[in-house]
Amino acid sequence: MKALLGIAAASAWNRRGTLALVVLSIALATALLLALERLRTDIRSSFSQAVSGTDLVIGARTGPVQLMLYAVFRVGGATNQISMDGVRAVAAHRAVAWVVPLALGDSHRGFPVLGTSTEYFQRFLYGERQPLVLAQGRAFAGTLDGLYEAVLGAEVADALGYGLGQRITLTHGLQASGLAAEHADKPFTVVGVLARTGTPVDRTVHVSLQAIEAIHLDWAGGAPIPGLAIPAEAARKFDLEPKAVTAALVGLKNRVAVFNVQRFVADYEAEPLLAVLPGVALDELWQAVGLGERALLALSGLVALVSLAGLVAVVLAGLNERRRELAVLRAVGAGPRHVLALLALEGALVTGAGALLGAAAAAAAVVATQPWVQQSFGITLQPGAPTAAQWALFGAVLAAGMLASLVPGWRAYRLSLADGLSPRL
Amino acid sequence: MIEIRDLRFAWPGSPAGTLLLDIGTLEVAAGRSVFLHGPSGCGKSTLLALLAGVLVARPAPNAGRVALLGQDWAALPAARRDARRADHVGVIFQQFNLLPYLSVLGNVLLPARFSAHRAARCTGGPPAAARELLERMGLPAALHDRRALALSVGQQQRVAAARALLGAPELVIADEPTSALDAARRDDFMTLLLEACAARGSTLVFVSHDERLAGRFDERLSLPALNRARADTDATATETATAGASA
Repeated sequence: MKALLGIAAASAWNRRGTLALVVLSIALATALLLALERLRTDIRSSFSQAVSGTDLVIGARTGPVQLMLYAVFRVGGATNQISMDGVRAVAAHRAVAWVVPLALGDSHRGFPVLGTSTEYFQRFLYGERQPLVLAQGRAFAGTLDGLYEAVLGAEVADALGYGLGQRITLTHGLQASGLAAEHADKPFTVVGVLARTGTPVDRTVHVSLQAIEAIHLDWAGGAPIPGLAIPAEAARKFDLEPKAVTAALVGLKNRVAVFNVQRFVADYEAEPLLAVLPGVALDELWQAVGLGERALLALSGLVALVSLAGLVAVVLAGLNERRRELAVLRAVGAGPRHVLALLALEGALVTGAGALLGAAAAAAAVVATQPWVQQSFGITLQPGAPTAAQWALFGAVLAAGMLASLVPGWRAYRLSLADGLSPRL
Repeated sequence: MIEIRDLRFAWPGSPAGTLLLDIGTLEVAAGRSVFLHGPSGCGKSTLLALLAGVLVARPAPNAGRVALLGQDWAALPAARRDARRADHVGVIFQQFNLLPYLSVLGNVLLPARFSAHRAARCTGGPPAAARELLERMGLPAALHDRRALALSVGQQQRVAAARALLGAPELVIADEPTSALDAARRDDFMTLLLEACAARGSTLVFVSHDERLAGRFDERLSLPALNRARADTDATATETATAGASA
């Protein structure tokens, strides 16, 4: 077998021009499969790492998945708000330890702005129950004096090159386009930058709930009220306690009560509310997304099959010209089984080279696009060691390639049996 | 050395009752050089394939004994035949003898890759023995690491001869190895091949339709004369044959 491997490698190298194209197509197919799997795994882990230690997320009545998407992942928008009365009623439940209200809807240069309470910085946990850490500065004060203070997520600070003391203005709505109206009259000052978390927090600008109220005092229906302009300083004299927020995170004293509290929220009579368990909502999300994922994976699998069919076609097409070569091998003592092994080895070498190249390309693509994916989607791609599923896909490509190589191998076996020492061309 | 008894052979698919080869007795002693001639299509290449154990005279209606060193090829399973051929037989074709993707030296070393027996019989190890054979065949060291196809046709045939002789196999089979060579090169090649076979004690079975070469061999056999299946179609060949020649 060792004798054959050297011959197979030399023979493949001799036809490297044609085979390089096959290697390339196998590499592309492998890269597609592996990159897709990486993306799938990392999207899931990014989502499941995004919030922990929160027992319930409450919001206006909508789908559980949608509520999670806009409240936690900052994807899409809320259909409706919930009143602070409702939030306070939940907070008053005897099983509830804490409630952190979330007010979304504004943005800064495409990054979402979150209005929340100072308690957010203590209560919000991500990943394996890790707390938020300030890389620079401090949390916003939450007082009237510190009304226009903002704390940036790591990605916002990095992407925009902001540091402490930077003055920023917020945009009404989530569009980064010039069409959206600016809250230019009430600029904010950056007082803190959070350490990187790999979650949507990195892409968020945090301000106090009161600040959200203040910048909307002279607004109605998504536009400034004509003729009414309340200067930044004057805003402090108004009642800035929020009347409504987008959603709220709820922590319980004891997780056992989670279904009690969920029912309490659902049965709240003053307004329709929804409480979801983050884990359950994520499972629902994966069920919905799973079908699309499988379709994509099946398509990439087909691409791999097509490239392997190309391998078989190329090797088969070259076989007739190599009948002399097979006869020479037979003459020096190779059996038909050696001829089969030679062709199969050649196919395996080509597949192996393609698969390795593809794995390298996938890894390179992950490394290259990682900053962009992080900034655009808040998803942290892990360029590290392959996952079990990636190994499985890699192995499947190799196995399929070796199996496919048996086709020309078998044809060569038949030819060399029929030809003996003198090919009848 | 070589022993054929009552060999009957037809290619599968040929009409029933028509044989390609029907040979009563043929024996060649060890170390002899035999010139086997006959016109194209008379079954020379098939006979060589049978002698090399690539073909066997089985199943029926094929029958008979084709033995090398006392061992009937047909009695061995296919894998054993391949191993035995690697151990004991060297083959030179008419042309296209070399694997284009190996160097000259790599081509000569092929038998040692497939046969430990041949490798062990190379004095000083296969690479040294291969280089020595190539030198003997008039191919200087500068050519040994060239690509096989970079050589002229005459040089390629000498490389093929060196390969067939590596590890001193008991039998060397040459199937019209000189037909692609001009007269001067043909004579050089014949001298080198016959000397090398004699030096190693290898039996040489040399097939050609060019009877001018026959004088340099120990024996001369006419296949049409031996072959009862085709005797009627090749009356002229029978006349010139040394009928029923054997060692």
